[in-house]
Amino acid sequence: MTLEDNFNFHSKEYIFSNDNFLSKERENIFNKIKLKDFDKKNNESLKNISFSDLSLFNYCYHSTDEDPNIILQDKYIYKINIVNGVCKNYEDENIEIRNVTNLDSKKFADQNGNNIDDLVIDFNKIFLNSGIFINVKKNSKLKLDLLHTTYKNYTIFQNNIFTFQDNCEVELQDEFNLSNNTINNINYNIQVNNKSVVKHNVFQNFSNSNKLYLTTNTVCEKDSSFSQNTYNFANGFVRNFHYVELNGEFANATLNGCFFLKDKNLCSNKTHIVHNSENCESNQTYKGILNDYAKANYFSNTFVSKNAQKTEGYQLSKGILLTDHCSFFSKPELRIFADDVKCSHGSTIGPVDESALYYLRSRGINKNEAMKMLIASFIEDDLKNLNENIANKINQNLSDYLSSLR
Amino acid sequence: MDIETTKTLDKYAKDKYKYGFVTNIDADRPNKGLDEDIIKFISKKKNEPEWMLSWRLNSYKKWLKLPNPQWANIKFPKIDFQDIYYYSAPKGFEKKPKDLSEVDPKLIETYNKLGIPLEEQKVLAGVAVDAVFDSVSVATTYKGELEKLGIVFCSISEAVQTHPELVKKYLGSVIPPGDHSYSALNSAVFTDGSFVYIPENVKCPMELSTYFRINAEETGQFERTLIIADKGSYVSYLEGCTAPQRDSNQLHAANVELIALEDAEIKYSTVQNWYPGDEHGKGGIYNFVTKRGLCKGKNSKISWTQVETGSAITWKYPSCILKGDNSIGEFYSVAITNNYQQADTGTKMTHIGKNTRSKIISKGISLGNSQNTYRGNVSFLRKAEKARNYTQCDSLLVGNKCGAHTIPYIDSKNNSAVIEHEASTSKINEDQLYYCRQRGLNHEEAVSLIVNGFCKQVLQELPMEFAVEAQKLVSISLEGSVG
Amino acid sequence: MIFLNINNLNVSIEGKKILDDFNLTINQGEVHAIMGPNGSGKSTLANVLAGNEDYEINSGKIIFKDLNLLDLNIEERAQKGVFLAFQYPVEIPGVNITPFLQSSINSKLKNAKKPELDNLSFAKLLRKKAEELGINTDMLKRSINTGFSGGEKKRYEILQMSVLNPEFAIFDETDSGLDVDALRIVTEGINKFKNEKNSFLIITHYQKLLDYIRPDHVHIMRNGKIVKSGDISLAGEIEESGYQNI
Repeated sequence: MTLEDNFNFHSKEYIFSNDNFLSKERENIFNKIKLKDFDKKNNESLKNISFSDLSLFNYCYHSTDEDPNIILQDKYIYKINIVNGVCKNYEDENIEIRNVTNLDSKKFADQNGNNIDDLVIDFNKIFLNSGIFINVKKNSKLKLDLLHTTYKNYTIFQNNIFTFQDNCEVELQDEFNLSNNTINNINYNIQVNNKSVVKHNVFQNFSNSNKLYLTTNTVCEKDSSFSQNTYNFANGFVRNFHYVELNGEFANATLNGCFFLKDKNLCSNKTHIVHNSENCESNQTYKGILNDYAKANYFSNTFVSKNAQKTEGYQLSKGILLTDHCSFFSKPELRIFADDVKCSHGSTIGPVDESALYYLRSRGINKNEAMKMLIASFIEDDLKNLNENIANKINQNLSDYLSSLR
Repeated sequence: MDIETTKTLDKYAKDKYKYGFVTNIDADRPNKGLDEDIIKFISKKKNEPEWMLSWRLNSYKKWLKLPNPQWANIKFPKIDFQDIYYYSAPKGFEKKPKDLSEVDPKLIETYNKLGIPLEEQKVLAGVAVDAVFDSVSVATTYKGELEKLGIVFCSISEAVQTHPELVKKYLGSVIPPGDHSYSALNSAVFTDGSFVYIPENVKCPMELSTYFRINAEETGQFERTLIIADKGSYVSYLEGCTAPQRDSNQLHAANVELIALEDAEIKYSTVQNWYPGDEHGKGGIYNFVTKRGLCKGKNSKISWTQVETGSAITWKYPSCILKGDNSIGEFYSVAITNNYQQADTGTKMTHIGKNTRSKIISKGISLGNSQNTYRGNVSFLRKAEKARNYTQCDSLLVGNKCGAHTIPYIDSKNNSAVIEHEASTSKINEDQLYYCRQRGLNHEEAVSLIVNGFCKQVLQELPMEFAVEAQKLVSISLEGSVG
Repeated sequence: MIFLNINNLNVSIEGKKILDDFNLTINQGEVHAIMGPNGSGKSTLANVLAGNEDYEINSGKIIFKDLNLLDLNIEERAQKGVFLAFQYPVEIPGVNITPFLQSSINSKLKNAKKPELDNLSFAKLLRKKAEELGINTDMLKRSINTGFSGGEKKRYEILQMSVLNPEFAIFDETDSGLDVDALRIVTEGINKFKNEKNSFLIITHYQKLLDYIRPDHVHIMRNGKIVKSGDISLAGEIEESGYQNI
């Protein structure tokens, strides 16, 4: 179906179709996309995505009748099922969870990250059909496991707003259980208030007919900390775009990612950290392994505004290409307007270390085994400090990936 | 920021440009603006053959259709291409002077003031100079000596007459006129520049040098340089530039093409010190330069070294296309921006052949209200087996009104190739300043010493005579004092 | 002439008091050693004397050669003859030792209104001093402290001292991280340089260094003050029973 058909046929189904301001904005974005009134060539949001992939699809969405479970495992572990973008409304002394309603339009109009120039977010805005609010109350110490389930052929355009009030300590985990032929355009707006510590683990593994566009916009206030690890083992298409703004002093943010691609997998990654305040620290590290005909890109950007003195910002990207047919593009940017800073980036792309391979083989390890050992060691650092559950999952996926290597 | 740093900064901000004088000399120039007639006028002035004129006219047609490149991190008012003189020559240059006695003494004096004596006996041992004044080449020294070795070193206008087969074959072969709008513009209106041909297996015994000078007001300078190093040859080429101090902006859009055949090596060094504008950002040269080298043959090597301290805007990316197997490309750059200067500079290394290697060392220093961007593109194409790249770009910020930006594009399509990229941005290390001052150096001397140390990896790539000059230039760009 | 007199000096960093009513007098030709546990304020004293701008001088006075030292900035003090041998000499990549030290000595000569040294005479002087100290002249071709071992850095500090010929040299924990051989070379350098015109302040944690240098006076510092002064035997006491009993 064309973009226009999708937009017109379903316009009543979208959230906030009652809100004049948002409807108008939708209209504007739609026109911009329809007229292709944007820079197509240098558009980072379109890297490794064809515009037609993004715009030609069959819009399919019905809200579910069933009420997905929230299971409290132990006292502070919440297993939250999200089916086709919808979860159960729930509240206790630590947390408030609810689905978006038409009354929330103002919250959406005012959310952070609305100004990010990104076509995928534009699509999210015009086709928005679901959203979840999570408000973690002050001083709470929780673990939230989110499992996203999407039915066959469904197209999810979801915008979630998560707020972590002062002095929380939360481990947030996202997993995806996608059926076939689904599109999942999920945009998170995450607010980390003073002194809160949020760890976000994202685990991606699904079959090749599915597409996931995951975007997070995080704002960190004073003395807060946000660290994110994404692990992409998916056969389908994944776009991981993660933005952070450090708005309060002494905040820190870490955006890490690993991806393991094979066949004709595509994957587009971006991390972007803006330092708006003094004495903040950021780290961006992405590592990727590409096999067969896989193709990936990684944009990283550290932006230090004029008043963000005493910033430390570090970036690192490493890519390993296993065949002659895969390719990796990386663009690590530093944009710096304050002078008292320590910023750096490093980027390497190449094969596995030949001399290490030689060394291992000289000790009698066969080439394939040696290769696997080296790849495993490549991401070893990233597997530290993970909880057992996710570490096991990653190890399992890693060994599956490695056993598929020829 | 401590008081000392502020003081030193203020001093830097008052930096004055010592090459800002104007030579009063009658210029022969047609009306402003660009159209086919002007191109025909230039071509006629230079007595060019028909093929050259039609090449220019084709380029002009391309230019009309091409938008200006937008990628750079620079801001400036739209250039009115109809408000520029495209040709200016000191009067009496219809025919190139045969020897220096025919050159206006005022011109010779100008070059003397710039520290480029043209009289051969005074020329630094081992440097042959081609001096370009506005649009024409004034004199080429040491020509006779070079001729004995079969080396051709002359102005490009002369080469069109004397070596048309080489010019025809190679002009535009590395930078096609339709590459982007500035290359099309240059191809249409280029007025002069240098031509070098080094025959097979000849190692050029001296540094070849061009000195560019923009003198006339509202004049664009569009020189074109073409250097061909035949099999097994070697040449080292130096380029220097200055312009008078004027309130209006002047456009400089040069094209430089290098071709290295099998086993040949070209070393190209630039010290760019065009007028940067005043401390409020008024005036200065817009330097939109395209430089590209083709390592055409196996085992060839092209090395770019640049020290960029001048110009209101610097937009240049000396690049290497590494086509021949085992060929090597290098880029060494120091870019210093002060006041309201903007620099967007870097390189492009395109690895096509097997075992090709490239190395990029870039040092950016931003002061005052300036913006300094490194933009580099390293790509390995599918056939670039075992290719290697190493990139290091470091930025130094002095003061919190300036910006330093590092924007690399890294693309690998070959799994046996290795790219390594490192970059850092920081301010001047306080511990180093303390150490130097504890040994009795004042703040300004200490800054200059540390910055020169920071740039050393690049400066040491320059030929000896130039390295000392460049070192001074770096200090001058930082200090208030002008020697 | 008062050579060095520190009178009721109070110093803090980021609001934290480090030197507390500190007093010390050193006469020309004397060697003083200051010992003390970690955090007693020894290194602060060295850096305050050199003019490090990170410290806040709350009150007090330092007279050096009849000059008010606190009125002078870092390089002016150096030009007047204050030399600090750093505990951790910083690496300055790309800056060659020879021109650096030449600028350094010439800044001093210029300040004293004496003729500056040209390249040749400086090179000769440097080579002579290096040979005296048994420093390989290859070292002079390298960048300042860059890639030097701990011992090499300290020897290079001694070389700078002997070239610059300061009247007052401060050694900030020069012995830290040195093996016995390196320590011997460094102390021999100091002893060679010592005469009746110049004075030394040796800051150390251990007695070992003092076995080689033999100071005229030994002071024990604690909590930003000198708590006990004596001769070399005091250092021996510390070695025996530690700082606890002082």
